[in-house]
Amino acid sequence: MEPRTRILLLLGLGWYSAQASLLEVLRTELERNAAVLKTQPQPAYFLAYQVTDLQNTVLEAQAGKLRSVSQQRTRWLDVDVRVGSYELDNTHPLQEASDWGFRSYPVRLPLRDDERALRQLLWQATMSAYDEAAESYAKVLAGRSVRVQETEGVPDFSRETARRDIQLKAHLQLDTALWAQRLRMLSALFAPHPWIYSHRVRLQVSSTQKFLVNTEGTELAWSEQFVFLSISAQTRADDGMELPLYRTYFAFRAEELPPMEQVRTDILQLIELLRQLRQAPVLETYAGPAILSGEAAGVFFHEILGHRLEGHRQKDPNSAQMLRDLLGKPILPPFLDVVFDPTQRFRDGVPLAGSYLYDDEGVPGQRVVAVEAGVLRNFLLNRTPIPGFAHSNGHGRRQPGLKPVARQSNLLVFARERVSPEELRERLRQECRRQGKEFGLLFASVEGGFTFTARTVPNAFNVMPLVVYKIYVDGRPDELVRGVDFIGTPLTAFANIVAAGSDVGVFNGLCGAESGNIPVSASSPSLLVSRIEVQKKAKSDERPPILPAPLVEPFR
Amino acid sequence: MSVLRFYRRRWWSRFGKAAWAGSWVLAVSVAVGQTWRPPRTAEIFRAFEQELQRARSQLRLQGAPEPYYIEYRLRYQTALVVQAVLGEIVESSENPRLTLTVGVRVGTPEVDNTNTVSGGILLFGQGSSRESYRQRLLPVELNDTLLRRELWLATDAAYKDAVEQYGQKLNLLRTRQRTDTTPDFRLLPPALLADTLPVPRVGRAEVERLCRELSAVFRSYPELIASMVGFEYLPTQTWYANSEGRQAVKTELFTGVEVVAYAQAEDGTQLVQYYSAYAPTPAELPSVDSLRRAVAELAERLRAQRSAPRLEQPYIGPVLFEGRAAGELIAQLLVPQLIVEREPLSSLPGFLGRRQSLVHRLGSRLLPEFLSLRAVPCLRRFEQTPLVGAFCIDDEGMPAETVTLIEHGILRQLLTTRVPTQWFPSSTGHNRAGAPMAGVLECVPEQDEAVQERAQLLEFFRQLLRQRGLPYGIVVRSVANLNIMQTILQQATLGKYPPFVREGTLPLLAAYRVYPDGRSELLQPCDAVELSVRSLRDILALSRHRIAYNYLAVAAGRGSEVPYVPVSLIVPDILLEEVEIRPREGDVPRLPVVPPPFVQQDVPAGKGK
Repeated sequence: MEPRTRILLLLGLGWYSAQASLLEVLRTELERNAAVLKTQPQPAYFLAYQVTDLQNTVLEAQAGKLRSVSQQRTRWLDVDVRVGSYELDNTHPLQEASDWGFRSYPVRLPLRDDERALRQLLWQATMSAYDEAAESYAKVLAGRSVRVQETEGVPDFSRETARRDIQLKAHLQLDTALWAQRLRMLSALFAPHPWIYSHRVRLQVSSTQKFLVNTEGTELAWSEQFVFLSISAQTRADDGMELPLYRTYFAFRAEELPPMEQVRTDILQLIELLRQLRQAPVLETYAGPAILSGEAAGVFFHEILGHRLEGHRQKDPNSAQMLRDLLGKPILPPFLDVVFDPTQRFRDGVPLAGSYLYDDEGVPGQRVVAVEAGVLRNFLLNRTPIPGFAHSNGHGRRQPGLKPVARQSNLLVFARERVSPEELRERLRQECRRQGKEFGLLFASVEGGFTFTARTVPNAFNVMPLVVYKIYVDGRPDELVRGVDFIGTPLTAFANIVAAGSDVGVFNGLCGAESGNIPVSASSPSLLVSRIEVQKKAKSDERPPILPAPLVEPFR
Repeated sequence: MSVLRFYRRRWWSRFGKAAWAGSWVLAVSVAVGQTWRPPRTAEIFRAFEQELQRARSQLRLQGAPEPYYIEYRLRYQTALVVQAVLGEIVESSENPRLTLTVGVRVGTPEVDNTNTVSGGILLFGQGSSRESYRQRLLPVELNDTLLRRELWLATDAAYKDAVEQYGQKLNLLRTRQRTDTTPDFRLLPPALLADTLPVPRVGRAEVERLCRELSAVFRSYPELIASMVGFEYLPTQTWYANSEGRQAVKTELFTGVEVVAYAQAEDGTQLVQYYSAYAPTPAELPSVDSLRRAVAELAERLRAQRSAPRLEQPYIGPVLFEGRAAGELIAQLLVPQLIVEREPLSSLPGFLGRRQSLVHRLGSRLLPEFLSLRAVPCLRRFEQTPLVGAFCIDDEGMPAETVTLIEHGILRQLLTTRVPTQWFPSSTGHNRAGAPMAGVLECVPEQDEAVQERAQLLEFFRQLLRQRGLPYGIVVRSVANLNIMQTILQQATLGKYPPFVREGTLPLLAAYRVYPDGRSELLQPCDAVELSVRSLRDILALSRHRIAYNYLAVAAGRGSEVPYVPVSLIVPDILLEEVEIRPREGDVPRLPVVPPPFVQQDVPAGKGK
């Protein structure tokens, strides 16, 4: 039968049979290529195809008007060729050039399951990936002969059980007209405030179908869907300091976002907070006790602990590997547990962005207890084994086009002992008195999703708070302050956590690292820290606009 | 000529409506509740005028110079992009985009903040801390209030940058003895220009169908490694105003079809063929039938080239560049240098701020005396072919002027913008997206015996071979185009084909060995080497017949806001007296170790390892 006729028939049979055909085509071409590649002088021992069928819709509004609209569907292909053996292959990290995350030319596949076009592109991409892998393998062999063994005989690739599973959902459908109208309505709330120099209301609906086949027999198809509604607004204080605020809502479907009335109320509050921030005093350097809200504590753990638990960093000769030797030893106070769990979709009814069925190496996402009663127990692992850990725990993740590495999923901090938020504040005051401080700090929210992995600044961290209050010992009302960054060294910061609140905050966002941007969450009870250090934010010397805003009431 | 000039204010109230009626209705790609259109011309110019007025009269920092010149450029573009492989769509998108660029000059026209380069220039207008003012993205649903707000913020940022640049420049000038005291700018009287066209609505489904159909041609060529068809429809509307009272509104239409295919010869040599057709609107492209024929010819040529003979040793002798190949010859050797720019004052040692230019060869011979060259930027059609490089108003709101650049072989003039130089004080109306660049260039063969009919030219070429005792000569029908090499070819080959060539080298994709007895054979790709603009002095003969060659010229990294600009050339076939052509040298990638999936016959697996 002509491929073209077959496509028409498949479409007629419905959507699921059409998808089954994509897996079949992937399997056919995979086997055909693998059969030849494994017989080469530089044999490929493993071959995998992953197709990411991504439908992304983004609407953005400003001052009651649509700013941009884009709707795009793309099918990305990632080919993973491994030359050599499980023990030693082309991905073996070399000291001098860590090309992890190096992106070869992105491969786009046809949007329909046409066998002729699909197989030609699969073959072309395989040949290209094989040539690169064979070249890297030659470098690895050459490098090994002149260097000492860096990684203590740990294999380069783990052996995992083959899996077959199809759990696909149809792509999300969005009523774009309705949402455009909602975004116009929400963004119009900013229009009467010319002192807010820029603001956006943005809806991103991302619907992904993933297909993965490999030469070990794995054959998977599953879906990942998420919706972000994000509000951002920015002003500038008279001294030039930039003052941004963000508010993000996450859901698995657009219908599950909070009611618009609530978003509206939140925006009005955000505008009010921004107004107060412009007038707020600048906090000078401070070292002393502080409360991190659940959301802020989540981001704190994501940056400070999460990135250091990513398994491949324990093997990468360019990484500081600071937690590697602390396995089985206490790194946090004994009342805290830290768990990564992609299988948990909600925490206290709040949806979690780092949820998925399978990671991007076809390994089921698994619950990982990283810290148990303060003791370091486990790392986040993909199929790159590290000493003492031979298997993946389903945390190999990537953005299409990049190589998967160990990444975070849903970071969950649990406290075995909790106190009410009021009591936590009281304990903060006590701690201040003990240290002779007039006030402690409350980090209500922090900027998330734009921070760097800690590898480049291995032994320090810097979290950017957005909303910080002074909590006075003498019972004066809390005072909003601005202009601080939260700095320190990770192990010291952990040791200073003294209590946890009974309230839980969730931060949903995108995490960017060498394998691209991926959705993650970080959630935690609020935490009392006996001593944190803040430093003055690097301040812009930019002045506010010289002229008043046009048309509307004068600026000052 | 469709330029309207009215040296009178508020012209749109009388003419605007007629010029605009029904000309610009485009729905957003996604149904968003209403069919919207950008603001009307009258509203845009009113907002421009109000903010220009406010900025001119009030915008100043204490102790800093005030702005003496401000310009606004608002650009609305909808890009419809479709790509297909083997009959299937791999990319299809339609995105509207509205951008604002603001220019501010402080100081005086003699010495202002421009024509200078400092270490931080790349950040100006794009820094995170200051509002952006170059190609600042504006909401597509723009209204008067929003536009004024955006103008206010962008002008403020542009002014602050201008003040800083001016200060740095004055500091730099204190350390220099200037030899070139040409003023930085010259103010002009007010002017009003319009060049608007109706913008046809193009159906995405229709474009997808075309791309499927054209790319499906390659399904019959399973031995080829890669192929791709790309389509782009890019209508642009620009509104321009400055504080001199100059206002311009224009429509530019661009449609392109690009087709590439890639294979390897049996010895591993990388083979590439491409086809491109550009026109203002899709309706003006060649017919679907002729596009399909062109794609089939391309595929056949590539198939033939897989087993074509190699040029065994370098060839030195006469070479005939025919049609589009002659276009590429002129496009690569001559066109980029037909401009003049000012050398920016720089604090960086050895900063190459200016592009290569022929300015130092003014008055000397560049071409044979039987060939002249004119810039005819506003010419929209040559014979049957629409010219995509045509524009009547440039991006500084200046009328694009017809200029004789080369007269009987002698270089007389170069293309300029409003930035004065010691050679040319005024603009020829060739500012394209921020930098001087040609639009339409016409080679004009003069009355001379060296200018012949096509058949005679070929006969003359063969005679020449006989006279010189050469066993064969070379006729070139296709030369690699830089834009194609750097964009769609990279996508199609997954980056396997080198995107750059050595300076002075023209990659010949379709070169034919022509024997004195008239036989000809296609060669594997080879390179014309050590060419420069000087090579064109050795043009021996031309055809009287000329074609229009449309292409996209690389503009990136040359002060331009866009990576490519459309250019049209009217060119004859060109016979060069002596060109060195070399076979491709160096290693070639090995053949794919696995044969392609749909080749039935015995392609040897692993050959060439």
